[in-house]
Amino acid sequence: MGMAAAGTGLASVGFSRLIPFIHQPDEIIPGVSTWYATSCRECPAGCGMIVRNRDARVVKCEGNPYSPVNRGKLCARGQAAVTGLYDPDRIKSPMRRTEQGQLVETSWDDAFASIGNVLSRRPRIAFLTDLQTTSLNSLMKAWLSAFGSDRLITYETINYEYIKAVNGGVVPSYRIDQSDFLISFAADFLETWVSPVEFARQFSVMREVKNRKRGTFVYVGPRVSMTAANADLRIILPPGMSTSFARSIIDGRTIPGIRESDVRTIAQGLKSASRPLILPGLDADSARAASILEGFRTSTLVNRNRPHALTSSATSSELQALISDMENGRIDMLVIYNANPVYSLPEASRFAKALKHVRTVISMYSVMDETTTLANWILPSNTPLESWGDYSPYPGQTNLMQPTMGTLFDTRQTGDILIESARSAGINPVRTFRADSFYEFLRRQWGFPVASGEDAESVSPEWESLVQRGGRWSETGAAPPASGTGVLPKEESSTNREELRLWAFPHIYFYDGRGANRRWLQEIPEPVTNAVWGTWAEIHPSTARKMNIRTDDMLEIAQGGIKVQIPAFVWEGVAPGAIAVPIGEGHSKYGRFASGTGVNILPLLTTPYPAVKVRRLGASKWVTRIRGSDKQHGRDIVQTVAISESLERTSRIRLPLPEGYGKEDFYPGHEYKNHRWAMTVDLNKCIGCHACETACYAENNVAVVGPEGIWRRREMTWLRIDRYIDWKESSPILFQPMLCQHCDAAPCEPVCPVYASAHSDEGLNMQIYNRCVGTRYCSHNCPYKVRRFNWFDYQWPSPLHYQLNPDVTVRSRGVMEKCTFCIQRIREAEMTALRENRNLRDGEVIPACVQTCPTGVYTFGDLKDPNSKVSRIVQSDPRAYQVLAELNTKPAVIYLKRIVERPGR
Amino acid sequence: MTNQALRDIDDQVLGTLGRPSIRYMLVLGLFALLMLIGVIAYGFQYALGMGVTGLSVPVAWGVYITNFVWWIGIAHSGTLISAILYLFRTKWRNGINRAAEAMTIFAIMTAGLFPLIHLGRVWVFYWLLPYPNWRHLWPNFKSPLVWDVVAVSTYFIVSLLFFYLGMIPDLATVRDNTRDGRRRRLYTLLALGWTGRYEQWRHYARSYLALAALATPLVISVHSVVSWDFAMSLIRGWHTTIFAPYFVAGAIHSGLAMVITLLIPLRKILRLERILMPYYFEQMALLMILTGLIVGYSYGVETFMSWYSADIFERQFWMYRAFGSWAYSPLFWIMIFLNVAVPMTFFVKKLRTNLKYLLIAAILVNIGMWIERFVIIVVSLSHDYLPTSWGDYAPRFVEVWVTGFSFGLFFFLFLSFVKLFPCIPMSELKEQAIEEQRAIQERV
Amino acid sequence: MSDKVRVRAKFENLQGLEDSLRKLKGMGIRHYETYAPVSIKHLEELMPDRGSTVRLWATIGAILGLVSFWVMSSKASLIFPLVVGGKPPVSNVPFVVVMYEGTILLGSIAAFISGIVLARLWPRKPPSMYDPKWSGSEFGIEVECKDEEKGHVLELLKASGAVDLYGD
Repeated sequence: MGMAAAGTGLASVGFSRLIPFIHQPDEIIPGVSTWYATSCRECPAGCGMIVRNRDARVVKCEGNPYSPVNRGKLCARGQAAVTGLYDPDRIKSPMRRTEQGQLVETSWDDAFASIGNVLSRRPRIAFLTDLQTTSLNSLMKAWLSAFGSDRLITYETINYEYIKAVNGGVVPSYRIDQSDFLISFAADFLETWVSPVEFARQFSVMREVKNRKRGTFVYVGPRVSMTAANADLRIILPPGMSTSFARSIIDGRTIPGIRESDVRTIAQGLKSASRPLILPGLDADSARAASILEGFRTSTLVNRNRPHALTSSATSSELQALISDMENGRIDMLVIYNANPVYSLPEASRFAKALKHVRTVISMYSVMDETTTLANWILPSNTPLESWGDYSPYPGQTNLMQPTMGTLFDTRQTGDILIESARSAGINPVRTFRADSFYEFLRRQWGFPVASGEDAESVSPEWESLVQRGGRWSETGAAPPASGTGVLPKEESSTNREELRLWAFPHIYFYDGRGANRRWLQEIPEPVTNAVWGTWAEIHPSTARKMNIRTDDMLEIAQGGIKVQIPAFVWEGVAPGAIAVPIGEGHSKYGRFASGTGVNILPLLTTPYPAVKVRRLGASKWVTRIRGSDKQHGRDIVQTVAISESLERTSRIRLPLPEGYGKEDFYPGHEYKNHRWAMTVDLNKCIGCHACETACYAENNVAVVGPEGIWRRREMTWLRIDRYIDWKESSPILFQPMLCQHCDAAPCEPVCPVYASAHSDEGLNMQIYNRCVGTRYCSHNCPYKVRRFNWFDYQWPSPLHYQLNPDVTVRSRGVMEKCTFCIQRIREAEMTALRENRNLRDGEVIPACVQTCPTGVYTFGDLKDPNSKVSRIVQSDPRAYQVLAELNTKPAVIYLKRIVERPGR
Repeated sequence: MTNQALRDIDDQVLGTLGRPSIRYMLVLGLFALLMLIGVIAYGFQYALGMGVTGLSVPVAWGVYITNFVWWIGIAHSGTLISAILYLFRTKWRNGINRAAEAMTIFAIMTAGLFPLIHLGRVWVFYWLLPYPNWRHLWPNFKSPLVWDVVAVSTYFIVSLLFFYLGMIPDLATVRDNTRDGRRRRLYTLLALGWTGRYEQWRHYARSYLALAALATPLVISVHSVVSWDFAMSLIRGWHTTIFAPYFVAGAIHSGLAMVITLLIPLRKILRLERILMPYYFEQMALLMILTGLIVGYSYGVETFMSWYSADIFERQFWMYRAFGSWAYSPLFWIMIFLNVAVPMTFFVKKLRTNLKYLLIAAILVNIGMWIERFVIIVVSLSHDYLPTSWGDYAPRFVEVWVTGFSFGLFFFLFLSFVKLFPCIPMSELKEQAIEEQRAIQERV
Repeated sequence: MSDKVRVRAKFENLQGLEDSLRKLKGMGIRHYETYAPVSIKHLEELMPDRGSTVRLWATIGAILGLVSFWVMSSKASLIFPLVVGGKPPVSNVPFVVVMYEGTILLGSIAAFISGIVLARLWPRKPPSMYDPKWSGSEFGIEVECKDEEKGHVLELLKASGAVDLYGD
């Protein structure tokens, strides 16, 4: 896999054609992928990303192995980034609002001319942007000051201001991997908190068992989130009670509803830990609780001298100041980039009204969202995958972004829009910004200014290699610019336990709502509730019983004059005094997948966890979720072993090799000449994040069926994360990735009347799409139910179809499909080895799920090679077992038992 | 010795072939309408995809396969009556075997449509057939579905041949008594120049006996093969060795019920009261007691084995089927009542000789057998190994109307047949009459 | 050598036919043909014995079916020797089912075709001498005899109760 530099920018070539190039660049070979390094911009974590470009089209995103933040892995959001590039609801050209109030298309020249006109009169400008760092941030500041303003507000809906308040004004770095006692106060660090992929990897290191011991993880919060599901001990408290709980750990006071033994365990653990770590959550109560415990036991693993880029996010008071200035007519022009306050602010309607007092509102966002529809001018930017730029998550670590394909529509780079508009206002960019274009600006920022007369051939090799690597990462560097420090509000007096408190948490996939139009993220279930395509309100059964509420009943939640209607989800994973609802859905305008899906509860959040009035309505609406039982019913499917138990293999592995056949088998086994592919899945490392599932969607052209399809149990996912709940266990929520087991004696094969399901000579269970007649017997005979059927001709609305991987067939209706162990990647590796006249190396074949898993759950390799990692695990790891082994299917996917606190069944 | 008896038989049967009444045509038209609606409904499925049904994973077989198994099951009774009872030289079979065999043919035709209807890519259905082709692609003979194709095709061909062969002498009779030009030409063609010469009778009899002997193992094997569509899988509730005899007994059970359902009204409509004697129906009712008992025994064996196996999947599945589902468990108990309890009432002579009661009971048994297929197929699929994959199924409008199509097709074909061809085997009845006369004479 | 003539008679019941057959056999005449609406197997001993090879053909067909279906399924599985479910490409146990059905299929087809062909059945009109009542309730006989015997035969037939007598 060679990485490429895009030179001075890929021209907008004919990506819509099968043969895109007439004169193709030397490094591009038709049929061979080119990889470009850039940065993921789906959230502020700043993972490095490499993007696969095939025949001028981007088809897949993967983590940049050189980036120290994510080390080659990506979460579900990162994998779905490519659907942001191909978002069917992207704005295709600049637009302006007419006298009558309509938005019409216009040209860039017209736009710049008019805006330049306005700018030349030096209006009072405010710039509202999402978190941008280094180059683009510098350009924004320079642009503003060229017009006499310094009002740059980094608006992040989730602004970490309380964490900053208890950490001296910064969002620090954390070393979870070195901790032996970790307490998280509602900080969902495996999902949405600061840097999830980085922390997931660190967490999996922390949880490795050495000498029958490993680090303890305690989670305190109002809801059993995915992060909480991976904890050894969960304290589920209503919101606002964490501070009292922290105090009780120190002084031993009792809290109603919490077991004394739990408090003592935590206190004991905290005292005796050598490297404790306490993580503050996003809300004031959690942050305060964490700081109280931090005062009790200072942690060496919190580095405030290495702050995360999130430190620069504006506080709510800064935003309030902006709104009041807007209302009072003190702002003449507001430029908005990647910010959607009309959706995400609690006082959204106030902001929308305030916008009317601003004469010129310009939005540079690429999709028509709630704020952008109110703008006067829409100057659509390139999406991050089409842009030059950079992003610096930590001091000294900066990812370098480059366009990974030509621009799809008539859009421009954000930096270029700023420079051009300045030019039209009469400013000489070369003099003021020392660059004629954003690319030149970027080059200068990085220390490689563009010399006059330079062309694509004479680019400096150091710059080329920087672009190829995707960034510059060192241990020290300049800290991000500080922003206001939030102030912890006064502690609330003891909460009225009769009230219901609304706990709003960022959705693992949509974060603050920015990912809502990514249809993969709508389709892939939320890890603990399995909910898709909509919002839900979690209620504890004791609360629900009092109000006669059952799952799927419609609830009306009211606060401060605003009422919303959300279906209920009754389960024990939420505190009795709380209603937990995810944020990020309920857009009114954000594209066809996001609009009308779910309910927006951000307007209710005038205080962080407001007391709400909940009323059961007569109607009911199904909480769209993957159906099926969530208990194991004694079937031993997800097996666990307690940390205190001795590790020895309790179940016989029926090898998917000729050696695995014995007296019980009617037929002898069959030989494999070259390879026998197999996979191990370490359940102890699986945190349930569904990154692997999203990667599989991207790699294998898996269709999206929509909410009705999910209701009819027709989800198309080839790899699913089954989750089982048993509240009596010490690990009540268990995750298990379930994919085609590629059984040696596969029951799905002999029943296919036309040999569409057959066994390959390398051990894979093949599904031959163009032979399948669609009798569906194979799906019946698969006990793991991993085979999916195409019930309709599923569509990829343009331009999403450009994302389709050309190495994988797109299936028509009437055909069965399932995981193929990414046979296209196996073949590619084999052919590469063949060309280079050598054998395949262990670890050379990497299926998509294996590639992206942040914690390293999967190992894939050749069972015929006794030295491969897979063989060694299967031979010697005592935790190994096979699911439904007694059916004698001899699966080639071997699971490793999850290690839990106390023995289960 | 007079030939009055022979002439009587001829007159009654030939009388059924007259011009159908307006009411008859109306009923025929109704069934044709049912077929039309079904075709339109199927058109949706063909155009849009299988998604218009209520199917999903795990329950990917629903009403279509239920219909398939049910209709094929019905077919078996016809062959039992014409072939097996012929070998046993049972007398009461002589009046009803042609109608029963016709029921078989049409049931197989109807059933044979459903494996096509339920295919995801029905336009390449012919890949299931073993035919030589340039790409040397052959079906998978290890698959129970291909066994199905072979068995059902064999059954259809053999039944058709057997049916046609048996009808040749009667076609000659009809040919010789028809004056109308077009119809006479049809019968002449089909009668193959039959003149009743001894040679013809000799070869005919040998051929008929050979076919009866060969069709007998078909009765056992075809529905066994159909049951192996299920028993060869690993689904609990399907994977059990009792399936072959269970299904065969069930097939004969529902087939007898269908024969009764068809012939009792036919007797009135075609005025065949003196040919279709109530005694025949009583015999069929007695047979149904036997098959009902076998079916009941099979239910018992399944229950016992679920417990005896000590297999958690098996036990939990049985509990789910019997008590665990508010939708399916009632169906399970209704099925047991209709299939086992109702036929047991035939022990009472007054009931089994009452034709009205027999008709109602037979219809109930048919419904019960349909429910049994549905319960076997759908409930076993909905509750298998991994709990996260459990799911249920309810048919949607396309499936309902296509089922209606099958009923429309079957009854349309049967009612048309009855008016075009002699539905009572005249030659066999005449042969029986002559034998009886000779027996009386010898005693004298 | 005297000419062969054909004498035809119609009987209203089986008794008459049986009678005449016995007498004809007693006369030593061997070439006669009966026409009946039912099978008259019990008169077998009175009829010239020619036997029927239908059973033989049915057996041949059945054996052919057994073997050919085995050959077909085995050969078909060897063209693309795919392993399915751990079973080798040629696994005889599943093939037994196919062979069984094949036996019945080809055996039945052979029985049917041999019956039709040996009985010389073909879509055509019956010969002009055929009386339609012979498929209904009456019986017929056609005797081939020498010219001299014709009178005798006619008398014999009349005595047995024939109606409608006619010489050639």
